[in-house]
Formats: sequence, C-alpha cells, structure tokens
Amino acid sequence: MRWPNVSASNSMKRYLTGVDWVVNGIDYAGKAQSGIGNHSELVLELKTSPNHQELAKTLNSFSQKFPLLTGYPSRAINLCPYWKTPLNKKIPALRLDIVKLSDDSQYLSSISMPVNAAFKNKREHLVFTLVETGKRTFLAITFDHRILDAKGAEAFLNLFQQYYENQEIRHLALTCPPHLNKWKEKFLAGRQINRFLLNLTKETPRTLPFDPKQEPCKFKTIHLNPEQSERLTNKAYAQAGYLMFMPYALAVSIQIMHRIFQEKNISGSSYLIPVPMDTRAKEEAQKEALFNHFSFFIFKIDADKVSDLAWLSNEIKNQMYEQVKNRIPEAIVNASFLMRIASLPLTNFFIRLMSKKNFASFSFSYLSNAYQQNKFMQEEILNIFHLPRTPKPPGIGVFFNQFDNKLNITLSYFDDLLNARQVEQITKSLEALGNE
Amino acid sequence: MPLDTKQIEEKLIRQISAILSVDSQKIKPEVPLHTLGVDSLSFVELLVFIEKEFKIKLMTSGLQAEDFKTIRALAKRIGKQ
Repeated sequence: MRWPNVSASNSMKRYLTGVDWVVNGIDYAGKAQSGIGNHSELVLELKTSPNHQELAKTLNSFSQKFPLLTGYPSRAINLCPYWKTPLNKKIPALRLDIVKLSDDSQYLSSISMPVNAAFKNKREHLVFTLVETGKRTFLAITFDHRILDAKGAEAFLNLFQQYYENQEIRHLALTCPPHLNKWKEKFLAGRQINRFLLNLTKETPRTLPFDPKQEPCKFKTIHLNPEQSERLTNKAYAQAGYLMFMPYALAVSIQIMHRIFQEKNISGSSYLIPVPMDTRAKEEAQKEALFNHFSFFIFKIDADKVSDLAWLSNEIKNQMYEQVKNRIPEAIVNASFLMRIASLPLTNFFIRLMSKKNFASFSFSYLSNAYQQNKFMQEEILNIFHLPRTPKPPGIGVFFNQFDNKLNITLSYFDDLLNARQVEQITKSLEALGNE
Repeated sequence: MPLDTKQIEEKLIRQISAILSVDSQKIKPEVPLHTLGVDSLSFVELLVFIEKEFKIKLMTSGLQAEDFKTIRALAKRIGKQ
C-alpha cells in the first residue's frame, strides 16, 4: 500500500497557530456556556447508501492513519500551545451512527442533531451519521472546528476517498513551526488590527439581542439546481463584475437580513459582517487539510444605504480591495499569534469582552468546492452542503457553498433570534435568488 | 518605455502563478480565469498587483467580463491605459 504511515512520521506535537488558538477559545467558550464546542457539519447527499459494514470498517482503518484526530490542546515548555497526540494509546474507531427515517421530510432535523450534540470525550473530534429515509441517503460528517475548518473538512474527505481507492497521498502537512520569532512584525500587526477594529466600532453596529443560553442551532437549506446556480452567478457577474460572486452574495444577504433588522427595530448606523477567507493557495487545500487556515475580511456597511444593490456591491468590493491592499487578513493572522500566550479561560474572557463590543451583525461565508470527486466510496454524490453551528454572538449566519455547478445556501440560527415567520421570510428570499 | 501586451501577459502570468501556487507553464493567457481557479479573492489580489505594478486602479471599472475574462484580454485592457 502506498498510503504513508502518518503515525510513524508524525511527532506528538503539532504547534497551534494564532487562528487555531482563537478557534480553541471559541470552542472553550461554547463548552463553558452549553457543553457544546465549536462544531460544524459537512453533509453529503448520496444516490444510494453505502454498505454499512464496509463503511464502518473503512472508517476504522482510516482513523488509524490519523492519530491527530484523537488529540487535544496542551502547552509546551516554550509556552507555545500545541495539539497533543497520544501515540501510545489505542486509536478508537471513528463513530458511525446509522439513522433510519420513515418520513423523508424529517431528514434536516435528523442531520441537524449531531452538530448540536457534544462529542463523547475530549479525544473525539469527528462523527459520521448515515441517515436513510428510504428515498434519500445523507452522510453527515460532524467535525470539531479545532481540527478542521470548512474547506479542510472537504479536503479531508478527499483524503478519505483517496485512502479508499488506495491512492498515494503526498505532502500532507502534519506539523507546524511554533512561530516564536518575528515578534516585531506580530506586534505591528496587532497595532494595525487594533486600530482597524476601533475604527470599525466607533459607532454601535446593528446586532440582534441574544440569549446566551445555547438551545439547539437550527438550519434551513436551499439547494439551487445547475440552471438556477448559473443564473445567479451570471447575475452576480453582471451586477458586481466578473468573478465577484462573493461580494454579490454578501450584498443580497445583507439586504435580506436588513429587512429583519428593520422589522425588529434594531438601532445602529451600520452592519458589521466578518467574512472568513481561506489562506490556502488552490493547490494547497489538501496539503493543509488539517487545522485552521483562514483569516477574515470585516465589512462595515452603512445601514441607510443597503437598499441600493449597485452601491452595496461596489462598497463591498471596495472594502475588500482596500483590505487586501492593506494586508488586513494577513495582519489578523499575525496578530492572532499574540493571543496564544493567554490560557483558554483568559482567551474566553477576551472573546466575551469583544462580544460585548458587538463585532458581528451576522455571519457569512462563501465556499467553493474543495471536494474534487463525485463519489464517496462507490456511491455517487448528488450534493454537498454545510451546516455550520454559528456561535453566539451573533448566532445567525448565511452560508453559500458550491458543489458540481450547484449552489447551496444554509441559514443557521438560534430560535431566540428569529420567529417562524421571519425564518420563512429569509428562506423565501434566499430561494428567490435563483429564480429572479 | 511602455510594455507591450506580451510583456504584460508574462507579468500577469507570473503573478497568477504566485497567487494560486501553480506552475506558470500551466497558465495559458487565452483561458478564462475562473477555469484556472481564480475566485473573487484571488482576482482582487491580482487587481491590487495591477495597481502597484502598472499604476492602474481597475476595481472601479465595472469589471465587465469581456475586458477581464482572460489574461490576454486583461493585458490588452492594461496596455490601452
């Protein structure tokens, strides 16, 4: 077999980056509030169900190649946090739960359950749930954000498929330097980001009032067919410019959310929307499948002007351009290294302090497909979409992803933020994007 | 001395190769950028490079596909200015 023996070549330490540490802090905060960490879910809709025994067996043998999947955060003698992987312990098989439903319409609530449940112990970070309705089959992969980000989860699935097909895997990055150098650069980045954030939050942005209690996160999913997806993409290119899908999708999402904020009489002069951006180059998505490789754009949008779509698209593009030009996403990554000195409880304290400053009106992301194949094991994949459990605050988000020329949109929210009619209103507006 | 379209193309190919982390030999100037894997972020990175290198700010130009779809079209657009 040409699959590399990962456990033999990997040390017990994988140093965590600043972004990894912030993600660990959010995870800690979630667990402190509700017992549930920072989870997300990748869902595959399959044409037919895989053989249960073969799936369980393959997951078990695959997990033996990745002892990192059983690690947990620790701190080294150089004070740098790292992911500790106990190589001498038996690696448990990846958990596979099988759910059979008699009512096809219940599939979404069924696949939403694992992402709202705590992992069984500190060494469990990945759970597979196969949902069979008789008509359709879904494989939900619930993952711990501390070890995989959204694009990484799709890239990791690539690794699984390559393992299943007995293909060679090269250049999988399993180590990371401690980054205990270039301190001046990190402090300057910290100063730049501090000024950037102060400027963004001069006036109070619009945010929904939330209850810190963490009841289950709910989801609505919209699946556009290839024709609807092409129509929406062409509309984005015509309105915002060639390749400007993300700015356009954000613009229409702001307009949709604006109606809810208006209806709720939320005061504030602007919306603040953090948008994660992948820091991996196209060819590196698989090499850097594990841990977190993203930064953020932060958009500040004048609430009085959002009804003008042309203005809104241009504003988002211009802010994106200025942030790239001023290397803001890079500075966020560099500045976040400074956070690593704080313990997780202290990081949690900082995150709560920042939350009080209302740093996000809602979450948004656009993910192009990183899973490059149309099969999972031997089964044809009909679609892939994500169910991200949006941490509070803001506890609400709109997420776009693409698979095989099909666009999917997920609304993720907690019940205290939206009533049933508002959920319906947002869902219908998102559905209409592919039809107008 | 102003650069000709071919020289602009070469500079753009080198930059796209660096942004996408792909071999520059694989990048053909007549191929649409989206098929190379350029998305909104990498396109904005390219536009920032164009401003720094050629002193032209294209972000406010409307970014219509006919001028921006391929490296060749983009090089011609830069050359005109």
